[in-house]
Amino acid sequence: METIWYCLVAVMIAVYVVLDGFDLGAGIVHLFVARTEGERRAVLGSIGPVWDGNEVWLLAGGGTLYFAFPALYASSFSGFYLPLMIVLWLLILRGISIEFRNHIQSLVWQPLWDVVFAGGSALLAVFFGAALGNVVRGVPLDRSGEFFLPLWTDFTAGKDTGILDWYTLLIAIAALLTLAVHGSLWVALKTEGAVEARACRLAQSVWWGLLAWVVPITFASFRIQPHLKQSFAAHPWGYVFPLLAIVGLIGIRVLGGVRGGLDAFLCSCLFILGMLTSAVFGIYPYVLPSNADPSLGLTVHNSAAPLYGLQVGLMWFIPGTLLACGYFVYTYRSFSGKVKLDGQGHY
Amino acid sequence: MPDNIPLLYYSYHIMIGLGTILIGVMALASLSLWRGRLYRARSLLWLLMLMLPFPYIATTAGWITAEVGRQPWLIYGIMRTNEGVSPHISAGNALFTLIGFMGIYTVLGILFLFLVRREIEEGPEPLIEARAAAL
Repeated sequence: METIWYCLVAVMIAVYVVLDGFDLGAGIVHLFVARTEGERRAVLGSIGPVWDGNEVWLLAGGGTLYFAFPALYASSFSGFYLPLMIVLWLLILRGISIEFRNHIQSLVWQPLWDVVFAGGSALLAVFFGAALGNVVRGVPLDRSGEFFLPLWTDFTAGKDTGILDWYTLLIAIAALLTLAVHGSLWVALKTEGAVEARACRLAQSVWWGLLAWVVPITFASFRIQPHLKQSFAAHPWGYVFPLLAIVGLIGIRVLGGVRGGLDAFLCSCLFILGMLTSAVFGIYPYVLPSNADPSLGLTVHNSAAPLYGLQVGLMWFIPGTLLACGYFVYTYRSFSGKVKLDGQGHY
Repeated sequence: MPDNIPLLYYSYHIMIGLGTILIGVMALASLSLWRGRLYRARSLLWLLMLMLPFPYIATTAGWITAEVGRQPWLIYGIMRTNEGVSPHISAGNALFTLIGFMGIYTVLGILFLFLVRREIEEGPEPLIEARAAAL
């Protein structure tokens, strides 16, 4: 039952990264792919109806974590206190920049909010990447399962590490590159003309950076977290997850070269899912490993809620998620197709 | 027992009082709108405009009521507030984030007032004027 919930939480977070990933990515590339006011409105219009719905998956993921693994929730939300608060501020600033920018037509107002939007999106990608890096590397848990991490210390990823060290920064930049590609492909999918052409080109050039980055982060991850090697050695079927990531990564290149359409975007989704599931598979049964003493790590067993709660929760989770998925399909169908550059609409 | 009874008492009564006034004014305005007289009823329109800050005060008072009223419990009868404190977060870190939140909300509040003022200065859209004239 704990393992089922581990998978469910992982799925919720993965869905969040894939969905909010493209609108964060659209934010990262916003200033590069859209130059004129009309083009910028088209980029915002492409994510406008869906970005806040996508962020609800983060909320739902956090809620599920709270419900299924309360010990993990208590430990990580106080241990990652500072970065979580910064993420919250960035989410606020990024959200309001989308809503505020069109209230005043001026040469100062809109560029200002565009910069806030792009900067907020990029920093969120960096922080989420660093968060993943921290979960893979492990944190200095004490006997009661608590810890606290400063933002950074000496960047050595040793015992006195902070949120940011050489390893988590590597993962953070990987996240930035991944979401830049992901967002570009989304923008290319949803816009036309010059924006589409620029987004396609950007996706293809950042792709090379991503390819160059994937190799070192793979080696670094296996080095920093020896448990990954044990997981893949014990269950060789787990190699299917990194394989998915590789297929996705190659697919972005091959299909993106043909035309920057839905295929390339779906390959990018596959790449993200592959990378995340590899990490999730690799650290199981840990939910938060310890970087000092492996026996102090939080696992699905010592941090899960009582069995009865998990069973009842599952019965509610299934209809709730089906409802959310139905609404999701409805929204995306309603806003399918390309955004028109006619100056109409809310954004 | 909550340790700040006066604050709880006044915030609760402000919430309930303002809520009742708002319901009353809404009922009056709805009636007037239904009878087609709202857009010419100067005193009622003035009253509606002056009501503007009350919902903000009422929701804030309601929030204070909920937070003060449940002390010293986080979850009533199960978990006390002092059991819910994160043991490893220093006061300095908490202060830092408090200042951060106050800063962001101050900026947002100023921007909100600025945008509302602009909106008011531009006045109502012609459509509404035309509709009001037709009534």
